[in-house]
Amino acid sequence: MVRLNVFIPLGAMFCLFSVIFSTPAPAEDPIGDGPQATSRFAGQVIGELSDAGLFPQSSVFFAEVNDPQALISLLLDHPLRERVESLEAYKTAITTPAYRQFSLGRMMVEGQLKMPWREALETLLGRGLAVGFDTETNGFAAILRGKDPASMKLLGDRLLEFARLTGNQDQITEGEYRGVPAAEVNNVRFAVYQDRLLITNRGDTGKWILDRMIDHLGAKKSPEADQQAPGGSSLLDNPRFQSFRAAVGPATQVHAFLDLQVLGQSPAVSAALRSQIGNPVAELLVGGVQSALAQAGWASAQLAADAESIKLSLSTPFELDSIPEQREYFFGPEGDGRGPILPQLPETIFTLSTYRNFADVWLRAGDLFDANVNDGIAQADASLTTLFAGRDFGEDILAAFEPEVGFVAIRQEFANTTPRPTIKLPAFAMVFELKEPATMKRELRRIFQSLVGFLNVVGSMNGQRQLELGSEGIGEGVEVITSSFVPEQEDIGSTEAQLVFNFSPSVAFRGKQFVISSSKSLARQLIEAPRPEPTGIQVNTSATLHAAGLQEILKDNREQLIAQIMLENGNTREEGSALIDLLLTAVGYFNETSFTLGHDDGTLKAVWQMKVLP
Amino acid sequence: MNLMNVEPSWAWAPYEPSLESPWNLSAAAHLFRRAGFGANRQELEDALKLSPSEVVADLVRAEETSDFQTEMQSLLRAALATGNVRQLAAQWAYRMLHTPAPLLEKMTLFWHGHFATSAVKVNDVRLMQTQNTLLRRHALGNFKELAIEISRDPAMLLYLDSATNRKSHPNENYAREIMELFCLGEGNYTEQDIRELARCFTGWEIKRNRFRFNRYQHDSGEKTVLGIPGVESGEEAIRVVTDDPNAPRFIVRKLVRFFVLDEPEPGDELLAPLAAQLRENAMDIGPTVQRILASNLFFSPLARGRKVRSPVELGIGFLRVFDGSTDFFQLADALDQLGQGLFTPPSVKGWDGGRTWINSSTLLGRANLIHRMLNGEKTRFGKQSLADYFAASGVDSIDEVADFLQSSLFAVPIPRPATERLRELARKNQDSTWVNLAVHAFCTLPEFQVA
Repeated sequence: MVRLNVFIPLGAMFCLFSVIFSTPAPAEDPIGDGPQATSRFAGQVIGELSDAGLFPQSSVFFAEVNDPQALISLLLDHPLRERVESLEAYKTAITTPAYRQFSLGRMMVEGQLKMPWREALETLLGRGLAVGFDTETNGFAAILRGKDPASMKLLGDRLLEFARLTGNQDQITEGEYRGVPAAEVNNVRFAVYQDRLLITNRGDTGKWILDRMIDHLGAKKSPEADQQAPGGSSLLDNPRFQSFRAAVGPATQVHAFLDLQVLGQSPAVSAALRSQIGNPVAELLVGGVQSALAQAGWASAQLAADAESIKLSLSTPFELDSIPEQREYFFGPEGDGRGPILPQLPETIFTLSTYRNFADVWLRAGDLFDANVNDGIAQADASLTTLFAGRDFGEDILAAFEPEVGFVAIRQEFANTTPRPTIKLPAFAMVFELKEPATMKRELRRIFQSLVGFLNVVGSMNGQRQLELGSEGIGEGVEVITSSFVPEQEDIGSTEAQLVFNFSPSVAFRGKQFVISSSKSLARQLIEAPRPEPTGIQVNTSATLHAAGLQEILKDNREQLIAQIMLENGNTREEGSALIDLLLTAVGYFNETSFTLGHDDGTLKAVWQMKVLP
Repeated sequence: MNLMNVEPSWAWAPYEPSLESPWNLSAAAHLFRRAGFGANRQELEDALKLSPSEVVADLVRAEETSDFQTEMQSLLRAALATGNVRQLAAQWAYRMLHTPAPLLEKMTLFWHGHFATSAVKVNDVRLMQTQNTLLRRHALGNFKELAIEISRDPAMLLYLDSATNRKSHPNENYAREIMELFCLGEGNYTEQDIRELARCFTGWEIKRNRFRFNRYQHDSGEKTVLGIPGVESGEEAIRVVTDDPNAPRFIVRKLVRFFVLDEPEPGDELLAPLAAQLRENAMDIGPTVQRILASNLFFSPLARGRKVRSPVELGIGFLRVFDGSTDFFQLADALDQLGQGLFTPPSVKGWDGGRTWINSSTLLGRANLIHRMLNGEKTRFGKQSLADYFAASGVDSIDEVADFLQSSLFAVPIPRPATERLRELARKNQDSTWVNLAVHAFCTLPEFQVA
């Protein structure tokens, strides 16, 4: 009773906390990994260690790390760590006063906890971490599931001691709730129950979870009793959470759930999900996703990592009906819009393959954007229609292309050529398919020639270099129209030439395929490359950044980057060189990073993946 | 002591240290502030091992090392490749801070203000840098050669709308500026001289950003400039102008105002020995600058603390005294906001300097610049924090900070009440932040605005 009285005032001021000393016998665990868990949550639990049942049904956000020890081990024992630690920059960094101060602090903590920090981390997080936010109690909570009850008790004691040593005694309050010792330090409440440490900022949230822990972990209630548990049903009873778990599938290392239905009741979130995006670029990037989210009940994130890659997947339920007509440009009218498969070229830096019907966006701009954007589009339409010899830009030009679009950027090779620009830019190109190549090829060739002429007139007024048109017939049905800047006397043989010598704008045709490129070499490579066969794993959008290509372009511009660092950071040349070398080394650790967006089996999924070199 | 009563022979005689005017840290700091952009404590102490005239001779003789030039070339290449005048300005600020030849750089800045050309109008960083290189090449060299080369400089002619000059319609813009602003000064020429000089420049054109002489457009008729008949080419005309007795007087007046004092305006009598020397030296600038910097007048109370710090002197000088470095893009932007944008002087007249550097807006901006540099995450002093820099220099207390600043950075005494206030501030801030607070507070004093 005394204990309860102590807790209630604490609860009123959002209390809960401490390190608990009881060590109930570990037994079957209805919410955790015991046999009862499998009976109660059979077919529902993500992995066998889920603490989702300890959070209220009204939790709008929930995230769980199933095997933190494995993640810790992956991070700290990764081969990259050894390579990073062998770097001179690392050896220098650990001699800095800031690092020494950090080390001193770490040693203090280790001394207080009487164990190395890694062991402390593994003790605290050894068997799981769950965090959530409950809208009912407006509280955030984290449950750290440690190695075993005895270790957690010991660690809890030491943490509290550490808080006493380092903090203001007046800020520390200790009490009990239902026999569970709790403490509050600076408005953060702690309690240790069995092998779990609960941390929360709200007393009500803490009480709900602690009730749940005591009633289910301690009393070993039957699954049916859960329905009548104090405080009501848990997150496991939330149908959207159930749908999320069914979609996410079996064990993932880290997963997170967001209840969009609840979140959508907030006017701000509702407006964000339903109003016009207003920015054409953002609309093209995420317009369809916004529509999908507006109708979805939940969204999820999953993180998976191993020694060679890290992958973050974001998912949400997807129904084609949720995409309004004006946004059919995004996934296609049947929802089957897929980006094209692009050829793999040497020294590729970046590729983007996507399905976007630009003609639809242009023509439906009135439905997609506000008046300001539409004014801009109307002005652009008038100018572009003039530029394209009176042909309507939306109806005649954009609509002449299929919605499958590719973008490729590769490193340019300047080794044996002059004029060689001081700043070496990648070559880049867009790859389209023409709906009616027979008529459009001639039209596009003429437009390109007009553009080159226009650029020459403007350039000559500003004393710029002039473009010279050319053409290359590679084979039957293949044509490359090129242009290149004519070097002046001072440019001939120059290795510090102007930026323009990165460019030789060109277009290329082969059958339905149309390439517009910043360099004739890339145009030629793309048009000559064999068309890859569809693999069946095409997605709406995919983008890949290749570390090797990126590293090469950084090396090409090393001197420029050093100069930039010297001026921006006030570094000496030696310091600037060391920083760039460190950047080059760091980039060299990676293989590629990619992003895909697509839908399958009623789920819209965005996946970001980064691969490191073994 | 009054400038009006100063004997010219005494004024320009070599300074000999005395009990009343010792060769000490303050005197050395005064020399380095004016002849460059300030100096760190080690440089000042090294200077005291030599006589003032030896230090001045070293400053005049100093050249950029080949390593430094290589480093600057890489920065220049980067700036030119971007075509960005902001990066060009940042590169020059970097050069000013790190140069081993500070007088050369200070004179380059002087000529940039004298032959003022703005990138805002020229709009071509390569042309701006070509001019800057030209100014540096002749900074302590021969004025006649500089005047001839600058008259053919594409950036200059584009800036003064003188890219074409045809005999049927001579362009008087450049002729007027060379007489009025570059060589002689107002009242020392006639309108007829301008018309005749403009005829000499006919056929001088800028085509595709290069100078060329179009002989078909040159007026080869008889021309008389400043009373000298038979002047034919533009080059000859410039020699006539720079040979005029008013030219050396005009140049030394500007040099004295730049190096010695903002006001009052030195009289002709005071300047006469310098003008005579410049003329005797066939307009070689170096010896005259050396004489000014080693003179009695330069080290006298008439010169000490008698100039308002220009924004460049304020920003670069502050860093140089503490071996500092910072974000040079931000620094160049700040100099621009304070009225001394590198490569962007306000008009063909250059910067007025003196009191015009200070107004309510720039005074606040100057304090903010010091604050940003002191607290900017990219600012380091001797590659460490200012507190660590002071600690490594054995400067631990507010009094020692005040002494350090007084001898290295301040041209006039720091008021005692200010030091008292800062002592209190240091007492309240026991951690290392008091150093930055104190230095900022010192550098916002009115006394800091003069150099």
